[in-house]
Amino acid sequence: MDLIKINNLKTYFYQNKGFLSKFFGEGLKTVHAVDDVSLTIQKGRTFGLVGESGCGKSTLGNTIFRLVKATSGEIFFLDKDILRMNSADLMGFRQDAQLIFQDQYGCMNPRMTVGQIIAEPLLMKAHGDLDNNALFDEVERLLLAVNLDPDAAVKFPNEFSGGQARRIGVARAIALNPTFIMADEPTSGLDISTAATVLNLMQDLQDKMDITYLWVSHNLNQVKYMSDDMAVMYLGKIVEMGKTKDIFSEMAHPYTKALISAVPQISAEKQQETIFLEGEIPSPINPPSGCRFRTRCPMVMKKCKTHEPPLIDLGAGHYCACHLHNNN
Amino acid sequence: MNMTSTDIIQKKRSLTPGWTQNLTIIFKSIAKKKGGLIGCIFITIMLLCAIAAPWLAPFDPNEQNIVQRFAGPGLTHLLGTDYLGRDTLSRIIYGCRIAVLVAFGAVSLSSIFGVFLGVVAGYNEGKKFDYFIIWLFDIVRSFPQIILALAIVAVLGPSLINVVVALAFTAFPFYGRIARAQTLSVKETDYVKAAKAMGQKPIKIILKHITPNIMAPVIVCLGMDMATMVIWESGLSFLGLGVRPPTASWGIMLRNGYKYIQVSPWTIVWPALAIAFSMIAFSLFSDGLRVALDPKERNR
Amino acid sequence: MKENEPLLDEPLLEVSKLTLDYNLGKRKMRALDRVSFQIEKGEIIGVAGESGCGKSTLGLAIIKLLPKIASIRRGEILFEGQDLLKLSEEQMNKKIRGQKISMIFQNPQDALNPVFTIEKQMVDILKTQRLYKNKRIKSAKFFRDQAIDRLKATGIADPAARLSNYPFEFSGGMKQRVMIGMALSSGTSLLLADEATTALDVTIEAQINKLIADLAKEYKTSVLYVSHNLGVLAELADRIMIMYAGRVFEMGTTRDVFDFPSHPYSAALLESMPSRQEKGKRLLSIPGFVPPLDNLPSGCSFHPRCKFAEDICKKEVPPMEEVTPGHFSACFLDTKRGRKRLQWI
Repeated sequence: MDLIKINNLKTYFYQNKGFLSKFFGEGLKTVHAVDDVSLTIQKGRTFGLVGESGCGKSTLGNTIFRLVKATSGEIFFLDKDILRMNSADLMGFRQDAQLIFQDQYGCMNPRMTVGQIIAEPLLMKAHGDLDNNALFDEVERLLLAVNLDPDAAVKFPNEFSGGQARRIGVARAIALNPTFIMADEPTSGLDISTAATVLNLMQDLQDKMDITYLWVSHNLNQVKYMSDDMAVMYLGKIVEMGKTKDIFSEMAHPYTKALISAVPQISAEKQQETIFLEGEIPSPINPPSGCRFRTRCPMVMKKCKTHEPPLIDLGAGHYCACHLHNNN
Repeated sequence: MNMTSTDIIQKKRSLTPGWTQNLTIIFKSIAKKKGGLIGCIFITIMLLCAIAAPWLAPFDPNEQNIVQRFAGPGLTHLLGTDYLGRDTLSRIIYGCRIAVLVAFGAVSLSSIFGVFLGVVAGYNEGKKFDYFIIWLFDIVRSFPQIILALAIVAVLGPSLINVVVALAFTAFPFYGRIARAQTLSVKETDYVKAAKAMGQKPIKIILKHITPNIMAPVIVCLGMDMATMVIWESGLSFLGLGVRPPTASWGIMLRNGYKYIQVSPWTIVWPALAIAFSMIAFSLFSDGLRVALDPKERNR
Repeated sequence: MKENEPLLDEPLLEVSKLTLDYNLGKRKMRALDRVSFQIEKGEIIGVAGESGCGKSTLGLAIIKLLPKIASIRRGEILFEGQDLLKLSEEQMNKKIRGQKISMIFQNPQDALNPVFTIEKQMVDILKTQRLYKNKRIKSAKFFRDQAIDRLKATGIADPAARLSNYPFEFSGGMKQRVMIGMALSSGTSLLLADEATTALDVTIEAQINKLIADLAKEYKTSVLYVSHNLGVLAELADRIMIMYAGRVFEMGTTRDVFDFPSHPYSAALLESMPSRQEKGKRLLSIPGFVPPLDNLPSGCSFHPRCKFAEDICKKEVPPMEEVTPGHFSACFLDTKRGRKRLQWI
């Protein structure tokens, strides 16, 4: 079942410059953070979103949660468009969809206790009707669900280690039994063993509570391990999308291939010849014409400069935007 | 603090440390640093004087005793008497009351009003309301503070309340500017984003998330401001535009003592020292308070 | 021309029983405990471990950039035969830092001053490097040319034009290239890299690590590469050292350590990685937590969390023993097992 269906989403950021900048200076600049992205997330599965700096994956996530204004397009949550929902439906969506932020400390108000932080969504849903005892029980239950000691509830976020802070964020995210959670770099800044604990926890929660994850990460090994489906983004566009195992085995897009080859591997069998890309990632303000990847692509052709490659279905739900596979 | 599960069951179950626990922690933190401790003690003395003036003062501050005028410090009048024979010590103690009232009153009024406007303006950055508020702040600030205070008191008439109102009016833009600047950065934090993503109402976000986190510089400002307000009040009273005589205020005492400085310098020294004392008290205390209220500093 | 050419069989860097404390008021954190290892000329040694294991402290100790609260209790750091711990600050600055031993850090933007051009910063550093002391150079052009050469060597396109840029005009990867250019030259004997590519994107990380490896090979520079990313170390380093709570647990060639981990901790780390496990299967989560450095467990500091712990582990600190030639491990289990693979799950 389609839980989230994004159609032609565009999120542009316009720079606020005075009107004189039209005549002098560099003129108005627009950042094409998310440029015509369409994807579908299936219920109960984990969808991985990978890409490097400037690819737009964080902006895409922020747009889904309406933290950033979309320029055009539709995002359907079940059968309603999030971007055009009325306030009652929006409230329902906001409780059914939760976020886990990249900065595990920054996402918690440093002046609130852990208990207050976790209780905030609970209080919102109940409109303050929950009595103190019931609230405390619920907070305790959530802390235990993430393997934290219940007496953490009276402590402040800065008293916890990175992994524990991350788990508090998870406890807050699952407080309202959400259907959908977006995890933005959930293990950034964590040690290997702490990250393993968090990954195990999130898998357990998914099994128990049937949560759908949007897993945004630049760590490809982790995305390969956690996600069922995934999409690779570059400069605001999706270059390849499909089932995770298909993408890793076929690597249809040259960027995907370079990206996966660049990931350093421990075991000798997995180590690949790294494909080094020329130059730096272009700025999203003035992306290259035609295919955005052409300035660094080892397989670039004449066509790539003038024609933007559409996302083609290679079969079995595996999509790729590259002229190499475009037989038109 | 380690609360075992039995504690949790037996005591009132709460998600925050209880307010008595909070207060003790705060005062312990303040007392840890020497500056904070001294500030605390001084302020306690001042509050004591202000509240218990009728019981502490050895004489009636307005009781004149011409025979004993210009007495130096002695056994009956510990700090001497002024030009009308009134006991200086009692007047200092009652003057403390005025100082405390003006300091707390003016600062509370200006900070609440200023911070409120500043936070709302900052939260609505870029919108018309924000521009209007900044314009308001700038207009008030462009007047030299003393001219503005004098003008307001002159219009409303000299009295304690009018002094408080005038001082509050000159000061609110400073709080507003600080609050707005802090709000601009706090509203970009992840925890505000998290609250928004949860669907929290703007008013709740402002009250629960933004305001507590902008208070640190505001509190430092409060402390310094309280000291400044005492100076202002003395200044206005000195000029005759503050509290009306015969109320004992340190500023009025300065005014009276100034005339007779060659006859009896004592009459000007004591109020000056009292003013200095209060400034030190407020500054040290406010700095200690700021450190103590920061949860990150709690466990040091 | 190096002043003291080391003997061929003498290691470039030899650290013996280095023990270091951080003094925080009443608490004493033992950041390094009897750390001993060697680096040969031209080899890349990777130091791996989790937070608090002391790997960053090790790098800072070698180049003597530790904070004031650090005090070295015991040990020596022999660099080209000379004990660095006995050198004065002035001698370190004149002869060693920036010349024979250089260091690059995780956040290149923090290392570059935002209000000066790249040219000014590079030239400032080049002037203080005594590599040119034999020539009476005062011309700005000479140093500018040197700076251009350094940038060229690190693969920055159009180096002459980029010299007049400010740091904000460079991307993260390019800034790190500038840092590498400043740190690495033909005179550098040892490069210390502390999480040099952790803050960079994957494709850029690959480029930078390749650059480090290529330049190190060209200049015959040894590298001490500190990272928590085992994959990076596996592809870059010749030998690996695994640290935990200030102690070295395992040391050996990259393939030995990663394919046949001898210490239970190393094995556990490898089994916690998602790359080692199939989707749907749980990762190993090492029970317990890293002990605080001022309150380490008795005996082997890992025993409270170790699946294979025995009585002796609680009482005595295991010495580093050779499991197979060149492969060392500090664990009482090893002597019997030889080359068998250790597994937790």
